[in-house]
Amino acid sequence: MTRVLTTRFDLKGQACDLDVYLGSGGYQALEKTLKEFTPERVIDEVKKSVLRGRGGAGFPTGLKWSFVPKESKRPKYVVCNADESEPGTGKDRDLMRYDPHLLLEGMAITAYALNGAPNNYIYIRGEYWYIKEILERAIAQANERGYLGKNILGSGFECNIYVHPGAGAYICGEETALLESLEGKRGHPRLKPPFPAVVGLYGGPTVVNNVETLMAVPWIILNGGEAYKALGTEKSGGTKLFTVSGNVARPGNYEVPMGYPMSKLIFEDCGGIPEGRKLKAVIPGGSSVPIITADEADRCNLDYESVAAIGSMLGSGGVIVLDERADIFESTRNLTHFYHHESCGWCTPCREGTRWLENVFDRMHRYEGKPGDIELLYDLADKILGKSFCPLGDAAAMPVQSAIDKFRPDFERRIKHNLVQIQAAD
Amino acid sequence: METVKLTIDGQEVVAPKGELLIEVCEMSGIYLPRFCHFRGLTAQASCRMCVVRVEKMPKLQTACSMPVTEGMVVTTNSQEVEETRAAMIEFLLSNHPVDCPVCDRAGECELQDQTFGFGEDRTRSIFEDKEATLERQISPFMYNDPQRCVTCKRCTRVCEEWMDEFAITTVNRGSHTLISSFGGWVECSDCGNCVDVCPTGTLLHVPYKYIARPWDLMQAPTICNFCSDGCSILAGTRSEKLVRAVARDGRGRTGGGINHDFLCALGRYTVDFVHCRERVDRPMVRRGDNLVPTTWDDALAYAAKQLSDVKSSHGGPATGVISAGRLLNEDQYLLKKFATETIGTPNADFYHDEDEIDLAAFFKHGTPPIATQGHVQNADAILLIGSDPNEENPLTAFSIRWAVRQKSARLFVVNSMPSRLERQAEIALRVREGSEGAFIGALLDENAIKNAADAMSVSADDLGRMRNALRESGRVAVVFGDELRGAALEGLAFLEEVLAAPTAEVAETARRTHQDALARQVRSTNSTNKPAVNENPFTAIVPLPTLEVAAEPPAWKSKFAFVPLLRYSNSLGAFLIGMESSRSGGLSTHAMLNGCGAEIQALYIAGEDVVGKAGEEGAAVKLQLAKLRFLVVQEMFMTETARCADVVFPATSFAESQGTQINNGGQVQLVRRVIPPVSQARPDWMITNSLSRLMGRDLGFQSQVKQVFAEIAGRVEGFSGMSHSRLANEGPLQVLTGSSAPGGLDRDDISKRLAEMIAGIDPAGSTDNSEITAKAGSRLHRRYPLITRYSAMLTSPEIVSDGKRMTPVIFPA
Repeated sequence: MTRVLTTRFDLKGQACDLDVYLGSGGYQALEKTLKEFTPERVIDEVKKSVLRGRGGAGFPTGLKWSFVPKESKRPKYVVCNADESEPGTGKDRDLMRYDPHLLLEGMAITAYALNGAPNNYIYIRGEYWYIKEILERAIAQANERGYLGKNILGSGFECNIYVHPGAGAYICGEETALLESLEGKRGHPRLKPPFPAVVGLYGGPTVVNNVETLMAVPWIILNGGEAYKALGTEKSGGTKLFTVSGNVARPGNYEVPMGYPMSKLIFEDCGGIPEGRKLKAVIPGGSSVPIITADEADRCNLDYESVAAIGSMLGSGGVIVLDERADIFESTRNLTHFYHHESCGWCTPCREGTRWLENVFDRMHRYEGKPGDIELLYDLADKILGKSFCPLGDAAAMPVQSAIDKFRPDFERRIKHNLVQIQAAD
Repeated sequence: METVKLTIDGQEVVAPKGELLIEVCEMSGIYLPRFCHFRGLTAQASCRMCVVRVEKMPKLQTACSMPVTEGMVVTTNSQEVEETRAAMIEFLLSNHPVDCPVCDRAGECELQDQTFGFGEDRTRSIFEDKEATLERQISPFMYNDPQRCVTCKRCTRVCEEWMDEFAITTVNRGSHTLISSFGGWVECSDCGNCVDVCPTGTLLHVPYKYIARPWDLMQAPTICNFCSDGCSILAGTRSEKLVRAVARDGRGRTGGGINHDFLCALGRYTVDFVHCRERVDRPMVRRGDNLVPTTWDDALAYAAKQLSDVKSSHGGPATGVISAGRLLNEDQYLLKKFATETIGTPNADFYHDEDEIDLAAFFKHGTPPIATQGHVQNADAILLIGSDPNEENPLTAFSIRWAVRQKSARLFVVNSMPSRLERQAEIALRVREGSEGAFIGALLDENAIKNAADAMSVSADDLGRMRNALRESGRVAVVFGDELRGAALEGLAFLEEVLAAPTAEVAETARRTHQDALARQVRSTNSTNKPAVNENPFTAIVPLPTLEVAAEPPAWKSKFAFVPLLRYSNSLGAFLIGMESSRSGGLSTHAMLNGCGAEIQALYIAGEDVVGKAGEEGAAVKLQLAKLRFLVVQEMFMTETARCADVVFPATSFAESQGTQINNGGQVQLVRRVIPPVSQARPDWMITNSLSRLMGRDLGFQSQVKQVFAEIAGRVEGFSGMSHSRLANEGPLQVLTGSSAPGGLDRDDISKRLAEMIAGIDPAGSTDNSEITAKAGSRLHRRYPLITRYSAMLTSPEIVSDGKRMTPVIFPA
């Protein structure tokens, strides 16, 4: 299987050193870009590759870049979204700590594709302070040796990269809230339109891309967009790094081609569920997507279209595996608490709705659920879905609705008048 | 105005292009519920109440962030929309305390109204633990109950965008969000706009707490009496007591004036002087060392006799009449007529210091066009010379900020004191103290730039750039303070000729260059440089055409229009009526005071505290007054001047009088009576009228103040065709409709005098280069002598007199 992102993972961090990186073929893509490509051709290759945003939204990357105006009065920016906070997702962490230079190279090529972006930022979640240091060391090395900074490799092209840590807000992974935070303001999302590609950081055209997306770019330059697309499916090109967690024998990050069967990932690569237990549920794309049953997981391939076809989303690829012991009510309650905690408070439905959801969940947790509480949860989620200012509201609502739809008995147990029957049955 | 056609609920609607959908719906009679939307503030779209269904868009859209386009199809009354609104209300109420019985806002609360209009009558939320936080006072004038907050952030936006103070902000995240400031106590100018715009009872006025319920309150619009901007206030009275003054009430009703929803600390929080105990309640007459109360008949008769005696023994001109700049036109007219016809003296003047704008000089070379707030809000460039509108004319400061923010107007500031408006300025020159006038010299003569720059201690380049920018701008509003005197003040009339309106191409190129510069400006709120304008990228796309929906901006008849920041609410009125020494050909107020005991044997002082105003020289003024044979004072309070008087007549405040006043935009506005006179006070004009009758001269008025105004309209230039009923029905009417250009001969004289003035500026004079701009309200105590229980909190120094703490009063003066 062709590896795009994890080629240097086996070096266990040695590739952080510039010479090791260079020795394993590093910065060749950047050199090739500067020598042989025009900015238009770079965007073209990325469009052909059908690379889609790996942060969760899956928006075609080449298309996003093409929205940036060629000429701009304000400076342009490439902002790397390294605020990996989606529950179940840990891919960017390993990507950055094992192969930081690949990210820098990807960003530099992106800056070139936009027709010049001298100052660029990596917005990294504050909790990854140790990775921030790794990145800063890599940047310093690259600057020193002419792979970043002014006049890269003598070409006259300038690209500076700065690392900016967040401070513990999931909402700052949303691209416009990220820009607000980067500018030093409260992390609230912005109205779209205008989109960041036109009006972004400090008012200038900005491309915000996930770590994994940017790190795929050098391979695309070296091997061509068509080759990248061929690794995956027609509409989802390339490979993806999935973080598998939960009840599996070998949790971790796995790079597989798009279209890979989910059951193969769980039962072969990750060694299946320990002690022969049965699969109950899978959350395929990080917690913000609908939960799926074992049957649905069985039929599911890991690409954007296939997961959407069974009623969920590929998202960030954080696959959470739950076996038969799992109480889906409790897992959903855990998630609801997360969304309430992380809600930024800007818009009414998310701010008040997540609070109310958590309150009802807590009540049911204590087995004090009233009849109608499940319907209440479903309706509250319905009233948040599609009505919030940014997708965090949707992310809070979808797990609740899907969990009730597919795992209702776990919820029924929590309603007080059912308790007697449950206790009798137990 | 360009328009587009769209369909709302099946009806075709024609709307101004670029207007927001929520406003267009309202214009068509469809009220969309909203909390965070507020005209004049950047769009937020966070409350999600105004959602509507727009064809071809996948999700429900917020109408407040959607400019109308041709062919749009909008549905506002479908089940989906109604259910969503009800859901949003339910969400908001889920954490809202059931405080209505004890909340000031009940009865005029937007949350209540919208719940009744769009919510459901049941709740599903049964919380054991709502996020209860105690109500607390966060500033001298603001109470805050955080739990009632719906996080619409109108208050923070008002503080940032209208006032540029950033005093109040949101803290914490998610459902724990509160409105507060770092440190918990809000340090600001206490304008109170945040309290007015709050749709719930989260922010409340301290002086008004628990005073009245909205259904007990009668509200009437009147005009504020404190500064020359002339804002409308909605005066709330209960049982004929004035209990509050706001710009808008909880239902969104305003005074309907030039200030829309804006008001400052003075207009809002100082109305308690009207009912304060220190008001003179009865006429008083001097017996020996004391003033003893008496009846109106006695006091009037006594005064009439004494004044007649002085007239017969020393002649008419031996009596002087001094009015206050805040007195209404009708009062000023009666005083003038009394002086001319009853007494026969040319010595009639309204009190003004040397350091106030000399209107005679301003009008010396014709009538320069006066700019209203509407003009300022639509100017291409604004030149602010001297003064600090943030302190003294807050509405003008608001208009300037609005123009810069919404219309990308270019702001140029020339001042010797720090001013917060410098933050919005394209070029701000901090000049040597007293040298602002030199700037006019540079404007009128290119060759004078070098000398002027030296005199002002600024760079000639900056000065040249500013001059160029003003030359190539299309419409320029010149806002100036009393720092311009003599030749500089007179020279303003010549700007039109010297920096003539540019050709269409020059103006267009300049405008494009400026837009281009703005488009290149990297915006950041946290840079140490002054922040750029239009922080929110969405504002740049939807600039508000005017503050009023679908209103046309006012027409400009010339390139330049002027806003003289006059000190008193009716300085211009007093001047035009003729109650001014250069117009009446008599002695000025100060000359009269200096001539006490000599040319002046008697004084009739209406509404002005000449002793108090003199500050340190007060004792000297008192001695002068003691030399008079007779002193009549009509006043609201026992001021120092009143204490010297032989007769004191109790006069009404603005809340108890009906009349007109003219603001610094030349607009005549109707001041309405909202309460009956306090105790035995009578309107100023009526006192003068009665006095005159007892002295044998009937000035021709019975008892209706509109008769006085009818005569003014008939006799005084600029007022023709006006009447109280026209003002009541049509709103402000423009006075000084004509403008005349200055004669050519005068220009050389002005240039010569300006050159002399520039040469005469002391090069050793200091320049205040401090970064810190004055906290708004910090200079209030210099203008207003005394303070009430609430207005005391507006200024910091304690007022101590004779060893004990006074309970003095802040009132228009």
